[in-house]
Amino acid sequence: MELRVTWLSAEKLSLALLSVAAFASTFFWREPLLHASGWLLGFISFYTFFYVEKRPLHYTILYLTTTIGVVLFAIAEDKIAVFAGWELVSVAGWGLIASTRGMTTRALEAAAWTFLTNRVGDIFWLAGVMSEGQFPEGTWIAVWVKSGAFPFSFWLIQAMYAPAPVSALLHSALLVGMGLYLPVRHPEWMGHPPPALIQSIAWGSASAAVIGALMARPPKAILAWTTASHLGMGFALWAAPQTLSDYLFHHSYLKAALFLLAGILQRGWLPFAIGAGVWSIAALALLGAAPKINAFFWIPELISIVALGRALSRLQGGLRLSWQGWLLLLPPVGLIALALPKPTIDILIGIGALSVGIYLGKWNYRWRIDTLIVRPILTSARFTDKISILVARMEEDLSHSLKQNRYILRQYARILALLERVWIPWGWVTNLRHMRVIVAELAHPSPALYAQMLHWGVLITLLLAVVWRFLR
Amino acid sequence: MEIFALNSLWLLPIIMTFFTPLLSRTALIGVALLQGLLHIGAWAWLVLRWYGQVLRWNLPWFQMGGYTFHYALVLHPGNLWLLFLTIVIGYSALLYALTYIEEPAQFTVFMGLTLGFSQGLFLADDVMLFFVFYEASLIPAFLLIYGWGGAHRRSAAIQFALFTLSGSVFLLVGLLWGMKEMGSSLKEGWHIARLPLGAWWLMSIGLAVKLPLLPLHSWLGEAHVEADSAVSMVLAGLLLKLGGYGLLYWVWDGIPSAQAISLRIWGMLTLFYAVAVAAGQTDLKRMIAFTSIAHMAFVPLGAGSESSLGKWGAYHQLFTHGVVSAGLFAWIGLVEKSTSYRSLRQLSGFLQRSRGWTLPTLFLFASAIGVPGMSLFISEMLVIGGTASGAGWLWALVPASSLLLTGAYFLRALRELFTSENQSFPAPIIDTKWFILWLLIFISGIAGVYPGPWLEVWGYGRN
Repeated sequence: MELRVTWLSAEKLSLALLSVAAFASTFFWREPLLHASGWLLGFISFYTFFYVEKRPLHYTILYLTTTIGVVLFAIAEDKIAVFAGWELVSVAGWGLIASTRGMTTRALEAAAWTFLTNRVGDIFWLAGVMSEGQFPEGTWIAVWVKSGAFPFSFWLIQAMYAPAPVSALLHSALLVGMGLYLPVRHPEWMGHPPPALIQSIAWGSASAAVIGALMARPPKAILAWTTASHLGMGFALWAAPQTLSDYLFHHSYLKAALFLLAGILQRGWLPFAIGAGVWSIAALALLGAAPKINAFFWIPELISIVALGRALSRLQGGLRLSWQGWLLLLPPVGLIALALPKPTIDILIGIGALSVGIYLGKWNYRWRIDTLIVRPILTSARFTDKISILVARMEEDLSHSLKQNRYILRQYARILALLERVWIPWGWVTNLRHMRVIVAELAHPSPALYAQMLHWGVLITLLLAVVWRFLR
Repeated sequence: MEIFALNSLWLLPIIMTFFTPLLSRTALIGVALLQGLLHIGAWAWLVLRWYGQVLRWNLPWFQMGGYTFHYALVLHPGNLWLLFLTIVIGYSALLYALTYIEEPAQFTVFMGLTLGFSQGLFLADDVMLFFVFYEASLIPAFLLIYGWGGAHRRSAAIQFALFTLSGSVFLLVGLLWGMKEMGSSLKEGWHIARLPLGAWWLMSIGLAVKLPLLPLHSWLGEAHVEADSAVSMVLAGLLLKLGGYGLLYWVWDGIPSAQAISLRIWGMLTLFYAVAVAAGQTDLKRMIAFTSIAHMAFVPLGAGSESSLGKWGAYHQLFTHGVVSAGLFAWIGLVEKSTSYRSLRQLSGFLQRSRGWTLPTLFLFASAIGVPGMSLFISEMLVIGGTASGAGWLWALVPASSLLLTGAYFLRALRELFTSENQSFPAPIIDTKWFILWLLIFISGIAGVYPGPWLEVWGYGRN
């Protein structure tokens, strides 16, 4: 029998070191985003240490890349450096989705979907930020895409293919959080959006995403949709950066805790009752941390709590508390402790909403909102693929005909020979004959000189015309 | 001493070609290594003395029609890193090829001539000298394509020669016309604002064949695909840069707004067309060749951006693309040597089987996509930033969208390479050629992570 120690290796130790370093960094990183990312990274790499079996080094390297990106984003003043940080995090996201569960077609497609959607946002980011305030709408769209708010939230659902700690780090906290942190960090790039417009966009996207949360089936997809909804709500706070960043970090901690809990419950390392208790506390804390904008925002907020209840009832849980369960419970509890708001009377309503959700979770819906939009896009992608293959074939035909069809080359050579044999000697004879005249006439120009110039002009034009015909 | 170093930059490889036909393969590798070290030493000596300054030197060469032509050489911020690129790509491709190529002595001679003449072209400060080097570099390049490579290499070489020679006709006419207006053939007396519109277009079209831009590019697909991979490295890494540098230094510097707009449109059409073609390719080498065209479209976009940031971005794009595309061609050459396949369909599942290839493939594809930390990201950002500040944000959407488009088909190719495990591939060949691959990745990474030496020479670095 082979003795294998799967839970401890040099590769895994790198994760533990990362965790310790991240916790230590919270002491000296005072910048809010870096402080928050220190806590998140510390807890999540601790969790990853006990959670994953395969490829721990991939996690360490890509978590570090994420951190470098976040640090660049948070401390850089130069636009290109900020963009590099912004982009590095999506690159790390690509790697984490593509590699951590093995490079399969499904993983690579989900990763490419995520990366390319983020790049659409990047194009608008570049146009918006580089335009020096002429096109602030570009920056808004970039923030929107990055934070995964409604019309752009489909990549977030695809990204749920990644394991639970990755979803917790990137798709509830750092990557999507960076999107909303941009207005806090660089308000000067945002222009002055009219508050009424921003609030209606925020409400619209939050409400639309919450419908997705009610219709999605896998628990992690439900969580992703509620993330889209919560971050959509954050748009309404653009005018108040301090409130926005508080909300953002509360949301990041709590949603990361929910993702981590979902991971443990899916593995069956925790009895359902304990998981459900912690889950309910996190969900109610999310309700407590919700921004108090106006009564309209209660609707998506409450429905998202219902959706969280649905997600909970779709999770299985285990029979008994295993030792991994105990250890893995520490990070979500720590994260919740970081973000626990003061209890208010809303909690009663929240408990009601959660119970409705748990009841609703017993039902199975037959339709999913993301297929309504993703399917036509995939179809059109196939269509554009066909177009590009068509263009490529055209291009191939063009050069093939140039290469294979010797006719054109032969004509070209024949015309050149004709020119050499007839036109050019004749030109030189005429030239010599008139040389004396030309020299004599230089002082006193006459029609003969113009005739000579005309001759040469015609010759060169003909030559160029032949060359042009060949090129066409 | 400066003059000696300056002249030896282009004369050294050409003088060495007199001796190389006598040597065996092993001796050739040794000589190439030594010569490369000497060459990079001469460059480094010049850079340490003249970094960020302009060094001009000229001798009267000959007189004709009342004009004096000069043998004039220059070292300036624009060509400083292109000279470095020539040395790195030239010797990398040579050492890469010398391990397997047939007739190594002849190959070394032609490679040395290409290398010397392209160095001369980058150094030339006289428009006639520039033209002479431009024409001279064509001959060994033609022979390199004609002599080594795939089944259709001969027709590809003829096509390459015909296209470039037709371009030279335009270039020569435009150049003489321009010289007549300026009254001087030296760069110091060459004011591009005074160039007649006809001459400007003639020179642009003539050199755009080499860059290449949209209707003049069909030679590139053939030549890059049919040539040997080492030759493709030189073609993409060096010879495209001759056209680009010529355009940026002699034709597209400080142009009026109307011409800048036409350059931007030209670049935009080239970019979208090349990306559309590349996305439909199943042959990986052809896909990489068309990616080169798409990357080179940043040169007219940067030159037409009406800002100095964009202009230097275009210069930097020449450098970064040289490194990246040479790396990609070296990579596909190694893949072809290892598996004898080049098509995406046949190579499906390749990386799943041969794990040693994963890291270089990921790095090279990431460089081509323009991921931060790789050199192409910096130059593309400079062009996009320059376009936004000089021409307006709407124009900046054009180069920015290439980030998405290039990413799309490279990720698709990666997906193909990683998945579907129908075939068994041989274990990767790890030999000296891998060192060259990693060297190019390393240079790309250095220029991406620490772009200081590149940006400071143009005055964009930290103070």
